[in-house]
Amino acid sequence: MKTFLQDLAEHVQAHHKVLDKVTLVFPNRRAILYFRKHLTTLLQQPGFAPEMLTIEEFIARFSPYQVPDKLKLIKELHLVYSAVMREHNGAGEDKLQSFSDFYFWGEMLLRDFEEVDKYMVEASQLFVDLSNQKEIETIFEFLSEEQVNFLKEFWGNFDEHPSANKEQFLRIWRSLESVYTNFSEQLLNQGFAYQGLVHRKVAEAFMRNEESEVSDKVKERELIFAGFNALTLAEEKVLTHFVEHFNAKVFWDADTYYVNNNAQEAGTFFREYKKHGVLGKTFPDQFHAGIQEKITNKTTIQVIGAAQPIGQVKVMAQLLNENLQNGWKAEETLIVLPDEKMLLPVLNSIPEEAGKLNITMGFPLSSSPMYNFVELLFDLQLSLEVEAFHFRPVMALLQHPYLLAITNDQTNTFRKTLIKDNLVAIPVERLIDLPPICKQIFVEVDANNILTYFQQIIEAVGSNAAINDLDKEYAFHYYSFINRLQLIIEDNIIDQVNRKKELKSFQRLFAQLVRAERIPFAGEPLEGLQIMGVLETRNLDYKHVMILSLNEGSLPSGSSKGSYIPHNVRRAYGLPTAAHQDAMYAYLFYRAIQRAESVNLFYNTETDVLGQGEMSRYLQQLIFESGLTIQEQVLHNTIQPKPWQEILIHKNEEIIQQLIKLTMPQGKRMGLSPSALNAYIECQLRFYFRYVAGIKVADEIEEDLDNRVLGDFLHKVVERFYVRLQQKKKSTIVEAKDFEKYEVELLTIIDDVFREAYSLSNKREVVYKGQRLVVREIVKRFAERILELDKTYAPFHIEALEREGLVYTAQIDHAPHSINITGIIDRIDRKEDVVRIVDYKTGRDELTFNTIESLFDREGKRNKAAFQTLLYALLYTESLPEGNSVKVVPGLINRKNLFDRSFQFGLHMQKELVQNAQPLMPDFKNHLKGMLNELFDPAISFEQTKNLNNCNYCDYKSLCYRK
Amino acid sequence: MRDKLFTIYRSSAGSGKTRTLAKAYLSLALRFRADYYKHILAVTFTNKATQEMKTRILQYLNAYALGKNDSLALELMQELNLDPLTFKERTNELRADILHNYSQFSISTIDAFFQKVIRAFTREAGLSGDYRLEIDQEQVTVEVINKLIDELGSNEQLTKWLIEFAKDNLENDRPWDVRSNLLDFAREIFKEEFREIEDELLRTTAAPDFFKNLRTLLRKKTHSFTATVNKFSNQAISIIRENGWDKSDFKYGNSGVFAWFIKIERFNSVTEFDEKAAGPRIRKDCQDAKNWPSKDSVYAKSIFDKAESTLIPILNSLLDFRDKHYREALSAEVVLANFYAFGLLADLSRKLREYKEENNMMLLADAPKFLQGIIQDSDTPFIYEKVGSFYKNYLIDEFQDTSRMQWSNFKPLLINSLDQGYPAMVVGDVKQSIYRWRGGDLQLLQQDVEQHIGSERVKVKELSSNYRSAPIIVNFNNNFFKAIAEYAKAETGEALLSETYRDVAQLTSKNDVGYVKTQFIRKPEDDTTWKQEALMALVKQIEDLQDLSVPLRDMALLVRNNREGVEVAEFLMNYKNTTDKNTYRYDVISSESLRLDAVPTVSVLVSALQFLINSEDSIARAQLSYDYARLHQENIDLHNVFSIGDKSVFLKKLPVAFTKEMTRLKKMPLFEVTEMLIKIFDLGRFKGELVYLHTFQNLVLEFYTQERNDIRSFLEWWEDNKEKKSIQVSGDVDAMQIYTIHKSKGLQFKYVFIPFCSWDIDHKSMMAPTLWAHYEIDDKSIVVPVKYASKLEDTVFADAYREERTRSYLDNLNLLYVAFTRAEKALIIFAPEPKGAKEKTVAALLFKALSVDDTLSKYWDEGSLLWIEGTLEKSYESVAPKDDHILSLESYEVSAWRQRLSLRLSSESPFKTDKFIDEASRKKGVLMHTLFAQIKYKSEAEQVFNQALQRGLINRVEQAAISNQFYRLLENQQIAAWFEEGWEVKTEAPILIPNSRDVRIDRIMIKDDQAIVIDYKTGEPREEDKEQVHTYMRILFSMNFIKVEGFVLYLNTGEVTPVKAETSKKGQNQLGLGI
Ligand code: SF4
Repeated sequence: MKTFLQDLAEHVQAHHKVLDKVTLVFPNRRAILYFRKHLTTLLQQPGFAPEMLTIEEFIARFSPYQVPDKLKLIKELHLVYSAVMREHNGAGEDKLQSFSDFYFWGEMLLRDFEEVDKYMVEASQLFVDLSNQKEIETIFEFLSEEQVNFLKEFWGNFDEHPSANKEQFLRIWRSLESVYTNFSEQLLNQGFAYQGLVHRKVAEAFMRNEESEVSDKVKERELIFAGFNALTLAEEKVLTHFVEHFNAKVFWDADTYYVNNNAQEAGTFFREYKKHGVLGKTFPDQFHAGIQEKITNKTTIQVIGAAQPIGQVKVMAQLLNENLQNGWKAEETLIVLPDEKMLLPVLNSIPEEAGKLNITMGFPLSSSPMYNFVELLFDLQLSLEVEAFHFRPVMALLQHPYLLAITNDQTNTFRKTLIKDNLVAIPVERLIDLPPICKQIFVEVDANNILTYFQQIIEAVGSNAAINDLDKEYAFHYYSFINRLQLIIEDNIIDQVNRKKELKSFQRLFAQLVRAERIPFAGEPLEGLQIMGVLETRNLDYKHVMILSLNEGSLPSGSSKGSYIPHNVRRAYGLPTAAHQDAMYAYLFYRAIQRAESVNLFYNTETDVLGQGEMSRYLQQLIFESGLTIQEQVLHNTIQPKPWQEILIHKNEEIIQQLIKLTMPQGKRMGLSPSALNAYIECQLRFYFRYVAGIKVADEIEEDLDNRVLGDFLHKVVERFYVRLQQKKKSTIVEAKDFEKYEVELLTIIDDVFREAYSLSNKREVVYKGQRLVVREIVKRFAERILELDKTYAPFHIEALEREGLVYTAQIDHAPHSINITGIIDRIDRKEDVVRIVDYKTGRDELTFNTIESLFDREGKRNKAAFQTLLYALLYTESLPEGNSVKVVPGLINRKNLFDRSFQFGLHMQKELVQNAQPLMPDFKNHLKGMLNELFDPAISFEQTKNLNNCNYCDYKSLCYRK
Repeated sequence: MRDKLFTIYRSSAGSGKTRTLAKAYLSLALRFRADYYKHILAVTFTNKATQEMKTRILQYLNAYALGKNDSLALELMQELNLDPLTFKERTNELRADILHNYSQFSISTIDAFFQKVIRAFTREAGLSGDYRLEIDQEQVTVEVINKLIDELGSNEQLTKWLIEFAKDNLENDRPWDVRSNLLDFAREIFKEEFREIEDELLRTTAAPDFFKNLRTLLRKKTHSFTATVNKFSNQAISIIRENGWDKSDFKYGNSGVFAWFIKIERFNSVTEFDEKAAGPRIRKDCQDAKNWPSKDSVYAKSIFDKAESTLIPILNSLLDFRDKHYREALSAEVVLANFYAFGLLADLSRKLREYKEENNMMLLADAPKFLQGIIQDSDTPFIYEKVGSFYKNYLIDEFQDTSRMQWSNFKPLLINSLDQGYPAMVVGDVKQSIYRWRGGDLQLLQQDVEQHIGSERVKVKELSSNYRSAPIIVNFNNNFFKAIAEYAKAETGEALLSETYRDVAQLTSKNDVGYVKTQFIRKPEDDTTWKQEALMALVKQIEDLQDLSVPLRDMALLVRNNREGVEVAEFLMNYKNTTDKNTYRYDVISSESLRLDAVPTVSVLVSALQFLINSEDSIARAQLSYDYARLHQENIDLHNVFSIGDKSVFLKKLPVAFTKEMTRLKKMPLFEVTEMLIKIFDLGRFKGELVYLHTFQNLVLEFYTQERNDIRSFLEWWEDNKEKKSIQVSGDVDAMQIYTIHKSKGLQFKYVFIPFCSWDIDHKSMMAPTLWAHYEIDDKSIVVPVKYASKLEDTVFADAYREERTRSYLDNLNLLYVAFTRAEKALIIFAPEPKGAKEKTVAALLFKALSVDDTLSKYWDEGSLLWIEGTLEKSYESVAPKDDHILSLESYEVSAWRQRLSLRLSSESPFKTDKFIDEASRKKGVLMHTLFAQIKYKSEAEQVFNQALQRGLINRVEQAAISNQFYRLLENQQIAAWFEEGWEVKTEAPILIPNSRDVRIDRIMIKDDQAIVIDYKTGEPREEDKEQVHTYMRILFSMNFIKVEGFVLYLNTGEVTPVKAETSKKGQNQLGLGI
């Protein structure tokens, strides 16, 4: 296979004796690289190289203007735009006040201006309001009839009273000429110009035949233009100029298949140039006929569909691997990625056999850990509220690999304290005792200084010895990116008043800009497997070509990015339309395969959410009309996941020992707790996970205020109320008069409880915001109601609050034979001979149960709360001296009965109120014993519950695959 | 008379709707120039339908272009009056034109079309151009509510309201955490129904204290009702108590009239006093004082007297009062039930707007309303201009599912083209209207569209033959739906139901027989086991079909929702894994039912990620340990697997590479980490799970490119979304397909199973929707939200309630219709035996029709609960796709690329060394080198420096320094001579070397066959510097220069080091090696 550039090199070598007299102009740099390589293989001895330039460089030679980067251009445009709009429409009319908001629109406008210049359109003629002009032809005498018709078609829609839409359109449209003119003037005055403007100025100079300067630069040089297609009008003028006056040669990289067939949009431009008075002469009699050859030879082209991008990549990798083993050479193989986001998947899939890689696409800066780091800094600053940061970004930052490396994980204990103290909002002052880098990070920055803040932190990270070279490189790229940004955004575009909102929109802009940044890969451009974007493939030919993402929207890439110039107006002035872009992509596609010996094409079989992105038209063209031999395949793997199996844990010696340990006093715990027993009854496996294997939900800072938290608060509030009362009265008797003016007291207690829960400072008032406010009110309402009820119940005597240490020892058949059971009772009070065992609940627990047996029944409907309170009753009765004849009444105070008009304390067995639990105890003990016997029976394994409802809120749901 | 340009096709299932559309399209497209098709917009309902339509049209064209004409071709030729040759030519041209201008081939979904229009107007509409389109409303709703709650404390009014809301909930035994309440309510405001009234409602409710006043009014109504009722009963009770009577003194004791009074006295809500609360015993028996006392009571006589004199009058006043005021009071109460959330309407709507602005997004569902602002009657051509497409003909498919707002956006465009004489059409079937929940409004097709267009322009065509199903199926459906539409009509009293099914009877056109079977399963107490039985019966049936050599790809399983789909899929997969009948296959594919988080490979990945960000997370440890063992080990010691308390012991259970790479993994971009984990845990070798890995990685990739690239964010997202994620598959593979009925619309299958034909026809109370109903209060009429419930029958909202009930019936009947009409050869249904006549499920309707209906019951077998007609057979040749159509993967290929590739590290990076001090001088050196190398002659120097300044390469200070240095160098005579004119100078000129990389020499000066080579250096002199010049000189010699001199010029010091020439031939030989 001979490539286009080889052909060209041979021609140059054969026809141009003194190479350094030759100037070659190519569409892009890569063509130069390859051309040079081909040329060296033809040389006998060293020699000065011909001059090789891209068209941009070539044209730039004739222009004194510098092309600044896009960011700067948009910044300038923003200034101009705002000024013009203010002048035309008065202040405040346009929403695009800030640079961030303007950016996207600015990009589009800049694109339009670039095109206006590259296609050499007079802005003063283009951006005119013709809505009231009937006689368009008389205004633009120089326009052809066709052009006038296009204009009429558009402007004909406007009538005397345009709709709001049209008004809105015109409002902007009328200003565009001034924007254009002021913008280019401003730039030129500073010695700058965007590319289109440069091209235009140069082309215009040539057209005016301002020879002297030109000839000076190219005199006595032999000019060659190679590999062009889809020239802009300015480029066309330039080429024409040199062909006409300097005898330049032009080489076209085309294939007869599309040049000679009018239906093929890929050949559109060639067919045009062929008719061109000057350029037409540069056409050869016949082009290469690579595609026809394939049709004749019945070369098989493989077309493979996969349901997802990843499927495509992996199937490509598999084929590549096979082919490499069958003799493909990596350096003769090209992988084309029309969709840039495939780069990383492809990189991760190229088989080792491929050896070296050469990638022209650059590694996205947004894929580096530095990106996360900066995003976190944004989050951190956004989370700032009343001199405290939200814990989430703080924790994430502290655990970011960079900080871990720099601080050598010194913040480990600190993080643990944060969790222990449940610091949802972390006051700035708590973050200052950390390593120096943290001091730099955890400060409030005002929105204007955010870039400086980033800069300093990145500098600190980048220059830290603990950071490796690659990360330093990322840091550097960020550093310089931010430097550039800062030059643009020097003057306060960030409005301090709306700090959060501005920061957020700036963050969006930042993200958008970063996503466009690339770090080049180091590679041997001419060796190894080649991976390229579509545009880079121009003029290059490979033996084996694989193209991915052949879907509409990738190749051809999505319809143009939008323009403010309407369709028919574009057509009137010869500005490119969607068809133009389509033709260009068609050319790129066919050109990429025209000389290849083997072609593998991949596409995604699924469309996007809007049903777009179907199989590319090029594939359909190949399949339906090309006459090429196509083999179509679809990726599918049989679906056969590993079956799920029930989890069953047999009790071995180790487990038994662990069980025994649970019954022995350890630390504060004095035996099995009611919750452990509840867990066991509900699901044996859950008990095993939690109490034997010790698997539990990781400690975290708790932010969400749900029912559980509320319950916890309520307990504390009520307990504390009575503790204080006891302290004040120095007595455990509670009387109705104790409840006078309790509201203030309650509020202070609630404050205290919140302080403790979130480690809030004592010095400041507790600030209730958001859900906390709701919880405070609910706790208050709950507590008030409890106290109201207590008031009517008073006088009574409080025996205990949060009573710990009561133990019941059950005797069972298996080792260790005696089992301690214990628990914490919310409150025990006594009035005459009635002792109430009170449990506060904030949920809707039922107050009735069927039988004692039902409390131990794991299959049926079971009252968990009743089990628990009865167990407390047992603990209590066991602690009573023999023969004590009090009535023990266990009961709940919960949402379900508390606000009932007919509140009645106590549980119901079937329909009867349990007025004394003592008689129920023997039965209860019996069942308890039965259950414990089972638990300690080595022959009985831990099983998953059969009642799927139990799994609904279980922490081990995913382990059990009960979802 | 005008032409009837607008055609409405009513097309029952299987009546060749797609063909009709395709024909209409082709007939328009072939009538004129080849590129006329650019003016046709065909609108389909789903993405899938879009694809199918496009493919179908291209396939027709392709066949015709090759001269392969079918009946459609003949019809077209006739209609267009074309001879075969011209027809072939035209189709050929059209095919080419479409293929090469594919973007103009406009067949799209409504959503896609609307987006296209909106994109063209972003600037005018004040949208930010890069707005992101959000499909998932649920996530947005949650966020919006959280934001609203966050506002508490800073927004006084809101705070007060919300706190009251919470307390009201608390005291009325509803969850105090109002977030879930709000969430329910907020979902309502996303519905199109609401969007239509939104603006008005926001306006009316914006009046100051609107809600507070309304609440007072409503409360007064309910309070006065309950208070009065309580008061009456209290009177009766006091009298009874005064007399010392007890419950047992009254007839029926605990359920007697005294007990009844006591109950009534405690009522706090109106609802409690429904009709049942005063049953016949109270209303009838108690009118007679005889029925008051218990026979055994000693007070029987006095009770009788008292009843007659006082108690019965009290009772009657109570009942009278109740009858007069109940309706009004209950109406107020149902409004109050939703009231607090309603009161937050404006806040929710505001927050939602803020949220969208802040995040620069648009909800897909916002589009139609948004478009209304853009599309105005006079603007049609302007819209086309902006969009760049100029449509003349509209063809709209599945019109019964189009929403009112969507239609009102199309209408102006459509009428505009009708006015210009271009035909248009809509196609639909009211019986297949099943997307009401997305706004679909069958009323449009039923009647409105005709009105809107003007009946003088409309012609209606009915497609009445069924080309899809075998006669037995067609007849079954004809009879069945006629019967049940009548039942439903009788139950609801609404004619809409039978009207919709008026045209259900279809003609048959196929000549094979067909098969319909319904098997009822006795339903024991437990709701789940009947499903198990149904599934076992299903398996049997699948086996039977395989015995007839029906390939799996010809079978489809239709389910009501994804959850059922998951159930069926998991059952079949587990069955496949456990059964020993290896002659049968049970493979299923489905893009909805195979949940991603169901397999151990994915689980390993997720838990490994969790472990990476929090190594203390013991659940993650357990999961990782367990699933990894499950994949790679045969007999697992589970207790050992779950002993993960000690980190180092835990890590020993995992691959060594994991421990080793941990730090590196944490720093990798998200996508790379997951790829590496797949490699490390060797997950790629489980071929049966590859599809799962692909899908998972795809999600990772998507998240990574669109959201963020860190593990933590991904895991948070995964936690919220994993339940919605299932695998994606493509292609024609030999497996049974599972579809939800909704997704099956428009599709057909040879053998159709409906495993669980059991869904409800009325709304379940848990899932009841909110109705926006008119309410007259205080002489004003407002729209209020009320929850759908049967008690609404007793309120002023009864009409709205009945209307919704009818709609719900219709939805579910239509679902049944869609499901039953998918089958070509056989329809096999499994349903639970209904519990009683009252059951409101489709199973009950099915049961009734099959066992009672005259025509149908012939085939009913009461004993076995079976209904069968026809025979199960395979009467066709199956065409299996070619073997090589499918490509499978052997493993999941992952390679670590970082070792093979590096990033090009920038030389300027100040972070390279720990010291910054060198930076300035280093930079100066580099600059000097670059700038000096550009200077050919002394005269050019100033220009070079100035340009550099302009380009921002140097600042003024640097410029001064560098230019000073340059002139200092020139003080040396030798150097000065080099910069005089007279030599031909090449700076940085590349020299090509055969088969090698080229070299660039800083400065070469040439005169005839002499050359001087100069190399610039900025550092300290080194031996290598000379070496380099040597090499250069050798190259020049080989370029036939006779005399070559060489120098190194040290720019900092001005020192010049000459290099001795070496003319040996050896040099030449070394070329290409030494360089
Ligand atoms: S998920 Fe279910 S089976 Fe598993 S431990 Fe929890 S309760 Fe038991």
